[in-house]
Amino acid sequence: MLLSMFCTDAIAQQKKAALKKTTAKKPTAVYLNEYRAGLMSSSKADTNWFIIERKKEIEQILKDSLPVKWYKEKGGEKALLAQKIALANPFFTRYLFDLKTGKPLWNEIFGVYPARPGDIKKGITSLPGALMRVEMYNYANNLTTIGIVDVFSMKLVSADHYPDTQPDIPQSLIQLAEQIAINAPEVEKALGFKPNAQKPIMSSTKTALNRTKCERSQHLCVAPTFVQGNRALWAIVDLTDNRLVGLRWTNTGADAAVVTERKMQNETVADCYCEKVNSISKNGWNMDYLLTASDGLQISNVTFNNKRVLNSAKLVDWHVSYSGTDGFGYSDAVGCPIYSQAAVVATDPPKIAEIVEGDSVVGFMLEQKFFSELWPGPCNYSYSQRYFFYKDGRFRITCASIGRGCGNNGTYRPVFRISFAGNEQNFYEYEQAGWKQWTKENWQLQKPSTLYDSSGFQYKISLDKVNSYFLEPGKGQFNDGGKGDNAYLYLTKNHLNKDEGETDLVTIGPCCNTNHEQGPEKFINAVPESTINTDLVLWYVPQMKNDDRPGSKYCWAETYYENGVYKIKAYPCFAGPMFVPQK
Amino acid sequence: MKFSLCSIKCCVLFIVCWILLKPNFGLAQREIKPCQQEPAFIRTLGYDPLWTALSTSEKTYIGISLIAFEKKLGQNSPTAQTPKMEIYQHPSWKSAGYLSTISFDRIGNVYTVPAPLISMLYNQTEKLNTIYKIDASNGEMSEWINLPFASKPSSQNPYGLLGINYDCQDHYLVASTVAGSDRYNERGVIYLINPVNKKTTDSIKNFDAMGVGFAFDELRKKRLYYGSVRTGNIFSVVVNSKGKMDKKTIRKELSLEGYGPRGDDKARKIKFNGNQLLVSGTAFNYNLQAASEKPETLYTFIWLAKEKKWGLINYN
Repeated sequence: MLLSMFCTDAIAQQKKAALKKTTAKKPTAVYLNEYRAGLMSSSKADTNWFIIERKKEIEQILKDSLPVKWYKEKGGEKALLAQKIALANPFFTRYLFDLKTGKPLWNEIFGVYPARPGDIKKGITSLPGALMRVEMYNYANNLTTIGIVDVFSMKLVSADHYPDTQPDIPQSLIQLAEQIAINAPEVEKALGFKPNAQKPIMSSTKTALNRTKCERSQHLCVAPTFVQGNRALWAIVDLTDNRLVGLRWTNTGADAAVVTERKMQNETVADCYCEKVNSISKNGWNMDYLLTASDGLQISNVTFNNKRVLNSAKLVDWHVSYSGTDGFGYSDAVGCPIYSQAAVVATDPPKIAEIVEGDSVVGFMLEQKFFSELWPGPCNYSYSQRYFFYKDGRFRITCASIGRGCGNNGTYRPVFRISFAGNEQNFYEYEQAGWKQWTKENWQLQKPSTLYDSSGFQYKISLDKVNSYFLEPGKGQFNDGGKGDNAYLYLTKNHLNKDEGETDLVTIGPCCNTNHEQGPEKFINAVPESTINTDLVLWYVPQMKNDDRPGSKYCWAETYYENGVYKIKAYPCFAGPMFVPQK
Repeated sequence: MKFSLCSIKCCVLFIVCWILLKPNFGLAQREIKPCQQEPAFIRTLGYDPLWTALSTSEKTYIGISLIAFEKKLGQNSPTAQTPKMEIYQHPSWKSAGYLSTISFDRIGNVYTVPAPLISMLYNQTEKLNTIYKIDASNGEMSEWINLPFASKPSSQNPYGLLGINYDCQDHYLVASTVAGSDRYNERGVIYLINPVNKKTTDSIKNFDAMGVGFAFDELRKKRLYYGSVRTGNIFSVVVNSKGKMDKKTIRKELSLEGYGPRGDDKARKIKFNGNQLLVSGTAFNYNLQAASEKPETLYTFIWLAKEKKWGLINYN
């Protein structure tokens, strides 16, 4: 279902180019999966026994009165007593449950040790050897709680909660991380052999533990590392989701680079999709696709059954305005995660998925998602871009906001640029009397009073004397949750001898115009040019108003509770036109 | 007698101070005494300089603005929690689009550099290497110096100048730019500029830096400290009183890699407080992700004289 995340060809080509200019060897990165899965992708069923057991254990512990896995590896009775004392204290257990709903969160005590001199706060007195340090990790909040208990007086003498902090992991989790890494087919493929329990090193050392982060997911991650000669394969393992996040080769040595989730994701996406043009050939369709620096995922050279259909299509801008505050909002460009002008970036590779209707595959979809770092937190954004291609020659260009933004009074206005193939194009609008040609550059808003033909088409574009496409705007009929496009459409002449927006565009419009001035109007001349028998560009700007009310959430996202941790629920607002070939 | 005792005490104190400060005894790198002055125009406008601050990160305000805080009884200066009373903007302060780092000189002139925020809509690409100056006396902002571009700006890098700081020892301005750099070509430059004649006295080429700052090293030599935006490493170089760098003295001071809640921070600001090195670290990926998404962590390092390296003592 998913594209392979290996892009060895791309990396090899890139390496060749890079090596001409730099002497440093660029390591290969492989990013495997995403923690924000959800839109159109079902969660993968776990088959490894150690993960199934781990999940069962979590389920069982969440049913206990205190949702905490105790530490039983070392320390014997004294360690158990220390935990008992700590867990009896309401300050130590403050975050065991969701503070609002009271639902149990997944917690684990990672270690119990004799307190160190630095742990003992001023004024605390005790008998020698009486103080023990209890370290507990809260997976849902990525929070560490450290309690100092006096096992003689049976009291908790101090406790502190540390957000975004992770204690040293216990041996059981080291083993789990190693098992996940060793049994991952991706690790075997990268190494060229299946490793065994003796091969991964570093997973138990503080170095690996502290110098490996899952910055985006804020999950507990460690990196079992496999050394081959002067290279090391880092396998980043997410112990919150119990899965392999990705792989990365590094050079060993004192200045060896630190591998983190974000670095690996960014470099994989940049190597494989920003700096390499990929191609699809499927269901009669052929096209190239590229992740741009600021115009989203661009498709180009699109043909169907060997006939040229599109020169290119892309998503130039997202304009977000908030009605409560005059002039408040953002113009977001979407694109590559590094070395780009994107404000909301692609962190995961594009996906190709089959479109199934009834029991038949009717086409395929190409999707790219973009995220702010702290999404779905307030004032953070996520967008999706989807291209649908059907076996019968139809295609649809869509996008969605997936919230959450800075408020519940926001309107999203994405700007599509769609360039059809052909040098003798003509454009028509449906009117009462039938199809009427637009003879000059122009724009128009889709309104409740807009007329459509009997099939629901509003416009038609002819590419030549034989081939034409109808344009069917969103009216809530596409079964993707979209409530209608309410779109501005702009028709501009495409001068082949000057840049009419073909190259990567900087932000072309401000956040907060509520009229047609969204940027494409700048390509309409003061004296509108003729649009008869010439190259044309369509600009399409739907308008989606967000909503956070229960039952009608739209362009929205929020976290929800599941099995002791928080996950994300998305309410995307998809918009965009369908193009239907005229038979 | 009394005088004699006092003299002895003074002598002892002097010797102790001398021992503590003499570099060959393995002492710390430390800050240069601050010299920056408040701009006179703040008082002219009727504000108390102690209860105001210049900011380039006010929501809905493009450019630079002067924040006047509500005075609180029992406090000498505002804190992060002090409510804002008023925001003032001189008409010229938004002419350059969004701005980032601010630095003052010894007579109260303000230097600042442009940096696009979320989009390129309000910042002109050709001005990304322009330092702006707000005149200390009249508060007018104007272009101060246009630094050259190492390469034509492209969609692969929306930034130019990133860091600016003032040398209170010998009175030079340091500015770092990454203009023209891309993923495979590091074309940034660190400039040392004489603010009197605007002439560049020296530079480090092909290095992308953000945080820049001056301090004395353990041998009491003035060094320029600069943080890479590609690796999280912080380097330093000895700078003489004529604004020339001794490139042979370039050394790596420390790396932020693996530290803090993210592990891939880059040094956005570098400053010294006594013998502590304070580094504000944040993510930087040459894109336009909003600053609000980039939590900043303050790392405090102390010089370990015996081991001749910096030790992290705290981050928050």
